Amino acid sequence: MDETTLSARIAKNSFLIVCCLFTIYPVLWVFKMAFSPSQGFDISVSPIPTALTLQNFREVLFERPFFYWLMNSVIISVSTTVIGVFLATTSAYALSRFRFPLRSTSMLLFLVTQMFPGVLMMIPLYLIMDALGLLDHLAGLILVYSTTAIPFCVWMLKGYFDTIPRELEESAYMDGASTAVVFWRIVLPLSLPAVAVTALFSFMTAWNEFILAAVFMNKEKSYTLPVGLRMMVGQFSSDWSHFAAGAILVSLPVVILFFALQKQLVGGLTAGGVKG
Amino acid sequence: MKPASAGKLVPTGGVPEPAEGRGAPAAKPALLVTRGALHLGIAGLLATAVLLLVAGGQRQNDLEDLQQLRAVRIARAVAYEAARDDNAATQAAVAALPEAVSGVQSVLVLKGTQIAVHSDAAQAGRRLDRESDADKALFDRAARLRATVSKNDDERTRNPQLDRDAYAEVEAFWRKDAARLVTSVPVVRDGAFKGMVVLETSPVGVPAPIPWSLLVAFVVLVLVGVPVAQRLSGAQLLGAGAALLVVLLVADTLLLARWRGALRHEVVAEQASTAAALANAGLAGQGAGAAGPAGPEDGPAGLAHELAQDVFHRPTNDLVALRLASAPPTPGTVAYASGAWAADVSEAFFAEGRTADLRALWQWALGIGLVTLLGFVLGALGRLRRGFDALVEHRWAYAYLAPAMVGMVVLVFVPVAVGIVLGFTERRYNVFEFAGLANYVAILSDFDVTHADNFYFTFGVTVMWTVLNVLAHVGIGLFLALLLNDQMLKARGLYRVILIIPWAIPNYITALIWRGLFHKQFGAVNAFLGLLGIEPVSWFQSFWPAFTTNVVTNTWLGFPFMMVVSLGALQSIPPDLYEAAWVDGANRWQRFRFVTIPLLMPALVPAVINGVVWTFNMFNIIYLVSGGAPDGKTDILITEAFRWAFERDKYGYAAAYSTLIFLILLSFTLVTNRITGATKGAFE
Repeated sequence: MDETTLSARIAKNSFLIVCCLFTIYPVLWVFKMAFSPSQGFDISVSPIPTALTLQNFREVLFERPFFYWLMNSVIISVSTTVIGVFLATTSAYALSRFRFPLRSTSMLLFLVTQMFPGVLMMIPLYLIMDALGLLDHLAGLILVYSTTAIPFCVWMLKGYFDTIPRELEESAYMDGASTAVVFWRIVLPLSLPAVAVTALFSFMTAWNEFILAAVFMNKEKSYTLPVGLRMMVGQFSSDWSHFAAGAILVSLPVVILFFALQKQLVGGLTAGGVKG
Repeated sequence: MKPASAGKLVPTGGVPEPAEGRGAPAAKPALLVTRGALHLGIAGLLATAVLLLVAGGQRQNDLEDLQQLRAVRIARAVAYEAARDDNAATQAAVAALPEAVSGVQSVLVLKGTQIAVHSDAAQAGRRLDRESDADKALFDRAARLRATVSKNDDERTRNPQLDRDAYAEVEAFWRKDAARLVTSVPVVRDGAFKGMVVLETSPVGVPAPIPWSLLVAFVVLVLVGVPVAQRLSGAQLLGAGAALLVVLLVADTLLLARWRGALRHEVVAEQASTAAALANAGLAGQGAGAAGPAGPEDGPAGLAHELAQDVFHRPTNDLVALRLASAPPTPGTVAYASGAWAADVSEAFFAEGRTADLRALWQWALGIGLVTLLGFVLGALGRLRRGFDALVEHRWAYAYLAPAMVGMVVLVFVPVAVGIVLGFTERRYNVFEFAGLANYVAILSDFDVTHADNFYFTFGVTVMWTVLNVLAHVGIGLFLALLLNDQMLKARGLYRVILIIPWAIPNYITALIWRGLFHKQFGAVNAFLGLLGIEPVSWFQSFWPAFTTNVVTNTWLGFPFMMVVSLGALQSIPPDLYEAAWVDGANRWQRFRFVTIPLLMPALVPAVINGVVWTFNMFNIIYLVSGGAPDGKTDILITEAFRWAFERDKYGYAAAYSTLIFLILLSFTLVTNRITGATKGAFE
């Protein structure tokens, strides 16, 4: 059934190469911008910079409150990950292992939350945060991000827990272990790969979120990285070289993590059919 | 609420039970309608009944309000006349009033403790009698009005935006025994209280009996509603209540609009004739022209001044008033003013009526909601005992689930519920005031699609945006997946890695990068166009270029997901199937059509459904790439809702807007789930 001729293969490859160029070009353009001196930026279409400099990176890092933003983002993302993963593992375990009234309702609830438009929640959340004095505080964003990440993590982990044979747990129960021991000592260690993926997902949710942070954080020093980056090319300034340098610094960690864990992450995102 | 015992709860004198409930097999063939149709019919009856009740009540209110408004107008015309302090002239005008203006039974002007003017000449000049209860009531009313006038004077200087209802200088009540409306207004001159006009009118114009259909409707409601409600379980009742509510709200709005349309003509005609009658009675334009351009105090022309202010002393149709006040009244100006006055009156009336309706409607909705809730609670009570046992039995499961659930409830469901409630409010001076359906009406009844902030315009843009993007994502993704799914392809691993890069980059960064690429001066897109000899394009100056930038960005961003999904599904198709098809003589296209496509569908359909939802809600791209430019034309629903909330500070409106978005997405998801069964099996 092999019908591929040489010319067909060349056509195929060249088409794919064109697609790849289309895909890669914006990325290269960002690199060119970031490494070109901002004064003499050359506006040709070639993605190769004519002169190389690290000046933009230096300016982004040291002439803007980049480290504040970085610190905010790291604190928020790590806390979100810890809280989100902890809450999601316990819930997913209950949904996977126990049969109890309201079980399918609970699962449906987790699913339904994916459908709520963020803006609908944003207004009340803003008012609630305002009332609690949590605007401009990291805690507010941590709480919101954790709950945003939980539903996906629950569905993903539940799917994974379902694949772990119950016999392991049953024999532990025979030996007199409690539910908590079984969960912490047996199920969790076996699920580390899935937990790692959900952790990455929670981290990326918090690290990449833009609009809630933009609404909740109004002081420049409490911005997260996305808000800070946006401000560089916002209404009042358009410092594209700085933005490019910042974008590289901010994206690099998540892009590396994404490619490191892409098999599992992609599997979870596509198979689960839940919002990513 | 248990279906098993429902039969006992049906009142003996009530409607016969549906035949299948008794379980006699012989009776079954006799049943011509299905259960579903029966329920539907009953629900329809119920809805009609409630609708007629609600709308009838509202119409009744309308008519009463109308009578009141009319009476206030007449009384105030007299009050302006009385402010001239020419008792003889006023007496002449007033005496003619019952003849000239239909429905007027009696008019009196009280000054101090003396009835200075009375339509019944015999009573004019009489002092109030301390011993008479009726006279004492008159005096007290005058004292109250005096207090209101002086209080309003203070308030008005301090706060120009008064709550009109709380400070109305009018007292009106129905004397039910005689079906008379008694209206009292103050006589004010130079801002000082001089006296009070008391007008007694009987209803004129449109008769307003309760239609007999309402009575029938009520009986049907009781006879059918109660047994049916008892048959339904709590959840069914809740669903039925919600559905009923929606139907009612829509139908009520439509019905009232119809009634209003008819009523409106009558009102305008009636008001015009009243105005003309007042003018004939000498209460309009009298002596105004002679005095030249007259101030309100020294050239009182009843109609002119009446026109200059509304019932609450706020300026109204001042153009007409000025014209009347500055020119000698001719039959032409009076007629013109009368017409304008009538239009003005009916405008004010209908504007007021709408808010009143919404309030009444809300009360009904609340009532229905409470009844439904009660049914739900009753149903739940029966399960409470069992629920408690379950809680103890499965305490571990609940303990594990609780933290996340609490988080979801507090930070997702409560905000969503609050958001939905906010949709029924409007924020004024930092206070959320209940506004009924006003936000929804404002959003949905604006059909002027030429404006960028029109709901239907934005919805159209959103649908176009979603369809184009999902088509592009699936088309490109599937095509690339088919190319990559080839064992002979050497560099497929490399291609795949490069092609999923857009997925790995945070989407707000992608959006900003593309905004840069489309930059007019140094953007690479214009540089490419320059190579082709095309002038630089200002991408964000007009709709289609700006829309294109959004679509291109989102296509770049979104095709890798579809590609990966398709690739995964393609790779899981066993090669034997292709070989079998090949052996059977299927050509390349047939193999694609009858092997690949059917086996792709289970993976692709849920991905497409999700893709639609994500694209529909793709806030970041729109907000960061085109930013809605030009003038919000490229905004989609979600960014528009954001603008209403955080840029235009209309939280209530924005909440209603978001609720509509949610409803659209919910119905989309429910319909597609019903069709594809996409979430089936996910619950096990």
